[in-house]
Amino acid sequence: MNTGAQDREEHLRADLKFFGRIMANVSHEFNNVITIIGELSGLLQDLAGLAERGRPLPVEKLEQVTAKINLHTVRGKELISHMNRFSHGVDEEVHSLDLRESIDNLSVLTHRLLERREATLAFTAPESKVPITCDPFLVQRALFCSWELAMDADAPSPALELVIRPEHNSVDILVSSVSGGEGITSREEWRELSVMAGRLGGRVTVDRIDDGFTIRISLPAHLDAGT
Amino acid sequence: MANSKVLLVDDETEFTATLSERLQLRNMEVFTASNGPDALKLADAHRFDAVILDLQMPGMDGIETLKRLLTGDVDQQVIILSGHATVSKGVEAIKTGATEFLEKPVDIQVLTDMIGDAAAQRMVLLEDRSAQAIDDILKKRGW
Repeated sequence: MNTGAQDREEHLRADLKFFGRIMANVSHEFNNVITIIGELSGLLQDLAGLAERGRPLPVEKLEQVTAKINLHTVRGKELISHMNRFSHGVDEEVHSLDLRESIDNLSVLTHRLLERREATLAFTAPESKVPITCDPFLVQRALFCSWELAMDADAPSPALELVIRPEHNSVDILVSSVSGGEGITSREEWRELSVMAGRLGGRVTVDRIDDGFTIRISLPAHLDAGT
Repeated sequence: MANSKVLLVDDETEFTATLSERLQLRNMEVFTASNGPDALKLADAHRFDAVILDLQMPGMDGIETLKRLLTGDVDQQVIILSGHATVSKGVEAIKTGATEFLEKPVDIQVLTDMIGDAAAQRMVLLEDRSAQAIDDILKKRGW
């Protein structure tokens, strides 16, 4: 039986591990953006070098390359914005947020991690805001843990569907694995998700559906600080 | 170095497209693949002086692709070019049989020189194998 201090240390270590994992993934993604911009500017240098040796400058090509540089600069900027939003998630233990935005932010930051598993995540956001007052960082960690559980259980190209259902004083997050699979295969991750749901004042259950299973994370719409 | 034949393997297609153009401007013949299985098909159909391979790709990753490339052609020169360089991954790639391990972004001159070295090394290996084969035939027939 762990003491309260041991539990807190375990939680902190797991939180840090997730934070580090997201940051490592984003830094990899950002390195890709920098590399592409570097190659594109290198191509411009190559073309300038050829022009110095008498070959005419291909104006259309220059325009294409500079447009691509702009495109990847925007990609890099967006990545930084998402990373910034994620990083500030640890500023306050309890904060009011729109759950749609948190999901959108997390899906951008983890896009590459899902892609590496050849997984797809379909999320149709409700038109109106889904307000929730909770630990912004922990809710994202719980979300990603549920995606990983769904991917682990699945066939080679996991297809995930995400639905959020605002109820009276609560919010249900439904993560379905819809391309078959054996159900929850990692007891350790399931335990982690259950602990996270508990820390968020909610609970987690799993239901079989026709083509797979659904993980349901039920959270209170308002979690008071210190709960 | 004239007309080296190179295969670029990376899931960032904008990267392979641009690097391909730059290497072509340096008189190389360049093919690209965005995943391991496509790279293996191209390696089956062509003889490349060097393969430039990323480590992290969806589906078959770089290490698995490297293993299969070398199973198909033990003399294949493979340069790992990764944006996710860790010491352990680098060691694993070299132990598996990669010729070099480079981190993105890479200086084009450094990469060009390495491709030149890889092409020369491949030529030496192929010549050694030819000489060995001729030697074996001569011994077998007692000439």
